Amino acid sequence: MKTFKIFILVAIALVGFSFTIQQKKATPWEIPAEYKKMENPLANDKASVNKGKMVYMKHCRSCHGNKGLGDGPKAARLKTFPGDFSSAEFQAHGDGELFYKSIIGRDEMPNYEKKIPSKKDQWAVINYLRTFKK
Amino acid sequence: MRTEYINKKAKNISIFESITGLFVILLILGSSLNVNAQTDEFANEPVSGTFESGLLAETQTVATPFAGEFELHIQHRFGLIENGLEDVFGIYATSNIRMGLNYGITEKFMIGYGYTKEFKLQEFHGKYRVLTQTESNSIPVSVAVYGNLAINSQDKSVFGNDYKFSDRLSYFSQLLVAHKFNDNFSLQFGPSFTHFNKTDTLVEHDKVALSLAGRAKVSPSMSLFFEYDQPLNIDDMREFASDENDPEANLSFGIEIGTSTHVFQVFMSNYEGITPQRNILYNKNKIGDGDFLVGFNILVRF
Ligand code: HEC
Repeated sequence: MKTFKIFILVAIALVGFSFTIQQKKATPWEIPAEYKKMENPLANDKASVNKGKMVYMKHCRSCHGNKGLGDGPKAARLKTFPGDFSSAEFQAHGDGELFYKSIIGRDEMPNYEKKIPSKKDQWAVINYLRTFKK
Repeated sequence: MRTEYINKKAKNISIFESITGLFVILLILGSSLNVNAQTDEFANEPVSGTFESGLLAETQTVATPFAGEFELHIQHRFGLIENGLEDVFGIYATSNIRMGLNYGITEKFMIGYGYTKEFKLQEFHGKYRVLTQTESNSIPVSVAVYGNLAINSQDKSVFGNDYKFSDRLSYFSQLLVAHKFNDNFSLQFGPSFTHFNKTDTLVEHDKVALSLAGRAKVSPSMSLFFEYDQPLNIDDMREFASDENDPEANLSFGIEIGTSTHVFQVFMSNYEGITPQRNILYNKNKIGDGDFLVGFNILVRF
């Protein structure tokens, strides 16, 4: 009986531990030069931010969270931390770089070229990402 | 008797005219508001998200799946709410259900198959988007054509004497014209034609109907929508002298929630047939009598 109790304790501890395993931090992105120098053709105004919010709430919120902190309902099941959009480090990236990360993606960050077919919507969501800046 | 008929006709025509009239006016209004957008870089881009999905309550919309995308549809209609708590507003009453699968062959062309419980309807359908509205309104509307063929697969005894396979077939075709006014508001107008090879006694074989549908976003992922369907019960087009079997109009309204992979619609409706030709030709539930039921549509994209 005693060994059984110890076994149970160890089992619980192990399961508990496996849930606390940290998400891996994202490695730096390699962004093609053509995207790096890409300019945002969409004015950063109220209309485009509103449009971007619609796109974000539909496609991105589930992982990146309402405030862009990387804490959406699906985030816990991701192996990679989706990033903190409010950080100065994130906001320091150019629009072209954010465009590449947001629309082309890699690994667990999905590709959105098909799901967000409109160029205007694609850039609108970049404008919305800028509103997370602290 | 005669005057009654004329009145009825006049009423139908005026409904028809006011619906079309309203749509045309709104269209002109909408496009005139946007003329100054011509200069921007996105002017000739197609607009996005006129409707959340290709289905809105009981009607098709101008939207189609992406190329290579599958859509699984689950459509459910509870019984009429009329019995109140007795069957918890129709939830425990007999219900109707449809399961369907659509596939986007190209950005503009979709095909699909579905199965409806009532009348064991096997349905094949297709939709082609002929025009897509542009950001600058250089093309002011999106236009799609939709058609389906439904096969009633009940036992052949229900078709009576002289059974032929063709008795099982019915068709529905529709022209869909939609305008997106802005990110929050879209309207769609859709004349349709329904044909049944074999109908119940004294029920017409052909029916022209009009549908008007619209949706308004209330938050980035939630919208309110309505849909109105008016079968044209016009005497000059009548196959039989009696108007006893005339189908009733339908009003649906509800809320829609759209995410990247799912669309949920919960609504009230008069229609219980799910397959459009069944609704158009056979609906006996009256808006005025409060013959509503609760329905929901779930769509999964993959
Ligand atoms: C399935 C979950 C998921 C969804 C949905 C998702 N992302 Fe991501 N996103 C991730 C993950 C995970 C990463 C980190 C990937 C990596 O670094 O390899 C990421 C990274 C990013 C980055 C780079 C972050 C940084 O710190 O550099 C941007 C920008 C981004 N996503 C934008 C978007 C946008 C915009 C959308 C919606 C259109 C979106 N994401 C939808 C999971 C998601």
